[in-house]
Amino acid sequence: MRDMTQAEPRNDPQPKILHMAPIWRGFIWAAAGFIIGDLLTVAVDPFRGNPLVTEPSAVVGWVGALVGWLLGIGGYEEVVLPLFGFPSTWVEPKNWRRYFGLSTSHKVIGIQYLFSSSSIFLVAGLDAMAIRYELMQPSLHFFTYSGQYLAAVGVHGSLMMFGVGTVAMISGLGNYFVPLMIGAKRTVFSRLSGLGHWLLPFGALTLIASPLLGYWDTGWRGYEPLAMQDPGGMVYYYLGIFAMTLSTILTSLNLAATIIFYRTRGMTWARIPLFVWGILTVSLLNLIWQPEIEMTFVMALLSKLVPWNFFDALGSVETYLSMFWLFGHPEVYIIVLPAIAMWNEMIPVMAQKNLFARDWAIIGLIFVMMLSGLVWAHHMFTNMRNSEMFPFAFFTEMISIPTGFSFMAAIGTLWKARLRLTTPSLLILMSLFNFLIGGLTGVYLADPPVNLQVHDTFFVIAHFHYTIIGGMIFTWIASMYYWLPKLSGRMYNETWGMILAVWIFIGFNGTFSQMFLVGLEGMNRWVPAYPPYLKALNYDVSLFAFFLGAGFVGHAIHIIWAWRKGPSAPENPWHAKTLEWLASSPPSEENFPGEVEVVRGFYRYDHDKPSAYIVKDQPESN
Amino acid sequence: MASTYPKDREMAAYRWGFRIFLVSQCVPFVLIFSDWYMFNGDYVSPWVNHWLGAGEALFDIASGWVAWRALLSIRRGKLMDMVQGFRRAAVLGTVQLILLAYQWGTRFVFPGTRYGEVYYTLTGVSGFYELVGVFIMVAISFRAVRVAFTAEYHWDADAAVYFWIFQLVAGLLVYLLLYWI
Repeated sequence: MRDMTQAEPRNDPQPKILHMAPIWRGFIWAAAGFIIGDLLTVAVDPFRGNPLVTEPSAVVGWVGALVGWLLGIGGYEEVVLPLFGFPSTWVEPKNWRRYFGLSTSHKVIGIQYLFSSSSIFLVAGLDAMAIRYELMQPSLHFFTYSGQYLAAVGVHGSLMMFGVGTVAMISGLGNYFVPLMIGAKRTVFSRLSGLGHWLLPFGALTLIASPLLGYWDTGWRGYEPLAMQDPGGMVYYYLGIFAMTLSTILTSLNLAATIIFYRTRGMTWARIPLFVWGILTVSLLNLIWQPEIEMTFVMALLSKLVPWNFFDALGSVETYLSMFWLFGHPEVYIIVLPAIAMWNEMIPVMAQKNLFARDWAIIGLIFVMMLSGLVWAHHMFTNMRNSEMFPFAFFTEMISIPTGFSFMAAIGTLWKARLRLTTPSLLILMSLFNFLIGGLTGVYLADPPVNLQVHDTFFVIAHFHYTIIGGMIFTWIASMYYWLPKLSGRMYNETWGMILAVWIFIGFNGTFSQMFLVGLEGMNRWVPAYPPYLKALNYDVSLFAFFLGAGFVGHAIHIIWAWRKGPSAPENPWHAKTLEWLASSPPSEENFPGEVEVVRGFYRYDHDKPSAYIVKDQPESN
Repeated sequence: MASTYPKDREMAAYRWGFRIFLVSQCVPFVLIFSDWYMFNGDYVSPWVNHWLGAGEALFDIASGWVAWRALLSIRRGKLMDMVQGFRRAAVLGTVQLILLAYQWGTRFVFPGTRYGEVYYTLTGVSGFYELVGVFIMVAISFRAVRVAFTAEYHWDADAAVYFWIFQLVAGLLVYLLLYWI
């Protein structure tokens, strides 16, 4: 594969000749790293049973594999050599091969994240199908052991939260579009960001492989003291999530610095687009809470390996619960804030109408960000005294107010608007509806009497799927259609887009509205077998779930088809005013043919004046 | 491509980004410090070796001081003083790590106790940050020579010392918590 290196060198007269694709080299170096770390540990600590792979050696081997992987995909040439002062010998190919190695282009990194995240969504979705197939019958018929079912549930939840929810819109669309939307030509820590992407597939593969070390049964929350008693798969749950959250931290650091420092001339704080506000607020949340969960998992991992008693009966089980949910609840706002921001990004464009109460929409995002750290204990009401529940119930209900600001801005904009009913706008309307159901049931769940009744039932599952899948995933798909002309220069098929949107709406609501019912009827979480009277509803839920899964695959096929073979799209098919539409489709390496100067805000449609100009051959701007 | 952004804007972005990264790295320490109080209150094991603990803290402070002097040197344009200072700081940090490894090896503190759990977790985490810091100090001392840092351009040295001071403060807090408070 000598043609990997046809591009011109960046800063070295003799570019590196790579004899294999970086991704393959990464695999080989990772395997070498694992073997070295594993054997060294087994040599030092041989008293754990298995002669070749023990829990500690699997951890140290994993660290070796991670280092090998990151160096192999380009980190050695692009990061380590410059760190010691040698010129980088890394050369990014100019063709499709650039997507399979370390890149410093924010657009390439964005697409890498979108691809990785979609692949993880597919795996987690297949996992969900297996779960639903199992639950079609009241007793075990698909999985052999209950541990297999619970490991499937845990892998599904962890992949969706850490590989899709916090990734697709933030690291995927955020990396691609935030610099474009603020008129920047690159990001601040582009090398770090490029390296950060490769943590994601590594972490996801670790999680997917975790059941090979034993079926762990704690779900995505790693509850103690169960986790301490679980087999070795638990170890790879901690490590997989560690890699994925580290990837999110690096993205957040890069995007937050880029938003604050690389805005183009005239892009004042008062003019920053809504989606960029969404990414900035979640980046700050990520920088606080992702390190928190990483340290929690380090402590849990040590408790398991040594073993220690931090979180068992000799320590404090409830401390683990608090430490987990301190991160866990902001996590769901991390997932959903970019989606909420995106509603108000798209609705004014599709309605060609001024955005209603823009300031309040932004204030809503900021207050959700701030309140999100004060609600965690509503996940633990069953372990608390009444007096302790009150403040958490209060703040949980309060957080619906700033969330409501975003709804207010969206509905105010839609009021008497002549909305163009396109696939993205239809999906946004559906997302508003779904999130409303998720939000209202959230307020309902915040009341301790209800919470104590439906705790650990499928009612809770339905609630959070309405917010995360119904809110974020629907908006992610809407954003893919909305930005497809910019990503690819091509247009999707409106008829197919609409059919598929209605398809997933029916599939989604059929699945999860009935899940509320089955939960109220007494269907518990974390059990593969249930009383036979719940079979009819569960059977129904599963049928709709398969329908929904097929709909998601349909969207993926449609988007891939449109990306490659769709009809050419006009430069600005939606007549949007944000800066990404000033770039060519797809954008050039430098994003814009000159310096961008913003002269007015982006959300006013009561005049035809442009919001920004491109000033060619402008020297340095400030 | 870099010419799009004036150098001072780029530097401000690097500085802010690195500082916010360090702020976010405070979170793990805040978490274990609060757990420390929850699990252990203000108990200090009578088995801890105060001499070794104080020795570690002294080496930590000395290395931080040497690193800071090295940074002042490059601000005055004295490249080789900076390089030597960084390497000395790394050596002092390594000595501290060796002392820590010795403490771990002797098991003065029993790992199976409540105090022991927190002791090994806290010293392990701060030791890890120190190990990363030593690597960075050594790497940047090589980089400084090859790309010839000047009084105007030495951001990497700034960043390395930021990190070194961060781990110094974290290490001292760990020392205070484990041995005194």
